[in-house]
This record gives sequence, C-alpha cells and structure tokens, in this order.
Amino acid sequence: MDQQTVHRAPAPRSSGRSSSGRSSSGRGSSARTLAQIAVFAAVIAAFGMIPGIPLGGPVAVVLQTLGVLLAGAVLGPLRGAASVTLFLGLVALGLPLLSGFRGGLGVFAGPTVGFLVSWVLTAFVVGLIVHGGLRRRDVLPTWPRTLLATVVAGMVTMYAVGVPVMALILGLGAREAMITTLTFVPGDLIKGVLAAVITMQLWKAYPRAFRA
Amino acid sequence: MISLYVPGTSVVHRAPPASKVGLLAVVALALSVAPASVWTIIAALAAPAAVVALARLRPSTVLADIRQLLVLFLAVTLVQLIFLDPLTAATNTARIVSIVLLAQCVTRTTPIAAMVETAERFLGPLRRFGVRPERVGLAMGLVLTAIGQLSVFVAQVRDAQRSRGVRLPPWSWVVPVLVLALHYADDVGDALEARGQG
Repeated sequence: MDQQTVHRAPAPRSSGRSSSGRSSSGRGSSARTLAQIAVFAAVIAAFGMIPGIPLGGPVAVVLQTLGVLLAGAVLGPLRGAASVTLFLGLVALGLPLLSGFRGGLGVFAGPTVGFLVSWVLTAFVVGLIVHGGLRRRDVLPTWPRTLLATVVAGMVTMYAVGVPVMALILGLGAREAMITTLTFVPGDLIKGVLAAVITMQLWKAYPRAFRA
Repeated sequence: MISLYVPGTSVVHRAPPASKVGLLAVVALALSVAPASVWTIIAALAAPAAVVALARLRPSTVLADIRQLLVLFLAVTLVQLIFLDPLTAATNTARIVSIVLLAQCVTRTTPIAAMVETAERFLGPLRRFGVRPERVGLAMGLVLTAIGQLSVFVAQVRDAQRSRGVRLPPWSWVVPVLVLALHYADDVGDALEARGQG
C-alpha cells in the first residue's frame, strides 16, 4: 500500500482538452452530476464483480463496500448517497449486481437488508467528513480526515444500522448479533484503509471529480 | 446485461408487477406477526413452494438465490438454539427463508423493463420532493452502459501495464481505471448537456 506500488493513470484519451475549459460556468452542470452518480453506481457494481482479497482458504473479503466508501469520499455526501441509492435500486429491480451476482427483491427481505440500506447513510457520512460539509466548500481531502471517514465513520455507520436490523429480523439479542458481526471487522478495517489510500490518489490524479 | 428474469407464460408471469409486489408485502407482514408454531412453519414453506410450482420455475433456480444465505442461516440457527427454544428458532428461520424466496419469485418472473416501469410509477408521488422519475430511468440506463465501459477500461489498463514489462502488483490497475471512469463520467455529462438533458 505504499506509494511505490501505485502507478500513474494512462494519459487522458483526448489530450487536446484543457482541464479547466470544460464547463462554461465554474460549477458543474446537473447533467454532469447525473453522469457522475450513474458512473459511480457502476463502479460499486464492478467492485462486486472482481474477486475479493483472499484471507486464506475459501474466505475472502468482498470489495463491494469499498465502492460505497469511495462514492461518498469522492463525490461527497449528496451525490455519493444518490449513487448508492441508484445502485441499490437496480439491485432491487432484479439486476444481479451484488457481490456473488446476487440481486432481486429477495436480498432486501433477508437479514442483511440493514447493511445494504446503511450503505446510503455510509456514503453520506463519509462524504460529509471528507468534503467537510454538505455543500462544496474550499475544504480539501486530507489524510487524517479521509482515514477517519473511511475507517471509523464508515464502519460505525454500517454496523449501527445493519446490526440492529439483523438482530430484529433474526430475533437475536444485541450481544449475539454483535458477535455474528465481529467476523466482518478485520475485512472492513482493510477496506477502510484501502478506500483512504485510493481516495487520496484520486484526489491527486483527478481533483475535478471531487468538486460538484 | 444479464438479468435474473426467467421468461415464462404462467399466471405468476402474467400478473401485473405492482400487484405481485403488493401481495409480497402483505404476505411478509402476515408471516412476521404469525406466532411461532409448527403451522406457521408449514405455511411459510408452502407459500414459496406453491408460487414456484405455479410459475413453473425450476426449484434449483430459486434455491440457488439463497445459497449464499444458507451459510448465514445455519450459523444463525445454531446461535438461536443457544438462546431461544427450538420452535421459535425454526419459525424465525422459516419466516426469513419464505419471504426471501417469495421476493425472489417476483424478481424471477418479472422482466426488468416492467420493474423499471413499476418503479417509475411508485416514484411518481415523489415528484413534489424534486425527484424526477424519467431522470431516474435515464440514470439507470447510464449505469448499465458504464458497467460495460468499465470492463473495457480494465482491459485497456492491464494491457498497457503488461506491455511495459514491469512486474506490478495485481491491484495496480484499480486507481488508473477509476481515473478513467471519472473522466468518462465528465464526458457523458458533456454529451448529455449537449443533447439538452441537463
């Protein structure tokens, strides 16, 4: 995860375009916002399709929530949450976009529905912390804030919504539900750190995307 | 794009999607308030079995959808057996399996286009809160195109990195692909704006 391992993005395909002369006004258009929301929903789907990080044996960390954390961190609270909502909408309508090619209304009836729904709030909270507020201000993503958002806030939000819902559906006590969830903690820590590393690299490589 | 829809002409396939979703909600509610008993378990398991038979779905198709959940169910049932009596534990598990299977039957018997149409109708009342259903439909289409585009980007970046002949860690393509994806989003935004879709 050190800087050595990361390589620069290939040169932009259309080199003749200056990065500042894109939109006539300083602020992004609503068409651009719509496109960003849609493309990040696709990124979340793509993270569900690539094989997870192997932890030895058949156990692997599924990377889909990494996409959720990045949506919030890059796009900010409102666009990030919208992107996750759009992704979940497509899953509910029957596209197998969840990791393991799952999808359909069934996943929203299962015990993990709280975790799925929490992703919307997670993207919102992560975006709020990384971007320093609801609207764009001149707050730049920094390492400490990004790490706080993706590692601590992201995990707390997901568990705060997901665990009680799971306990409710399964008729478990709070403690038993917590124990069932503990197995996810190491993977979520890894994903949080990865999300922070990727966010800071994207901020260096393509800061435009962070601005509304 | 692959969808979970299984084509067919059964009663379940022909029923309007909104009524299927409505019925699902009613059954889910009924199952969650039903007391823990053997009868509840039988009813909970008979309902999806009946729907699968009516829809002429292959049981293996629907069972495959809960394969991932089965491990969780097993773990959860074991935990419940420690804290709850066996009947309550079994009823809980039967309830969830039943609702998940029924929900999946709706998905398996309804084409995506019909689901999108139903969703747009459900979103209609949200218009006053600034939600524009037709834009949601547009965004959904964009997502599907973008997923295809992302796989092209992954192939491009991996080829470019391989051609340089340096040994790179297996995840080295992630950030370049994301940068390309964000570029692509801006291009799509420009294209939409040029077509007056702002």
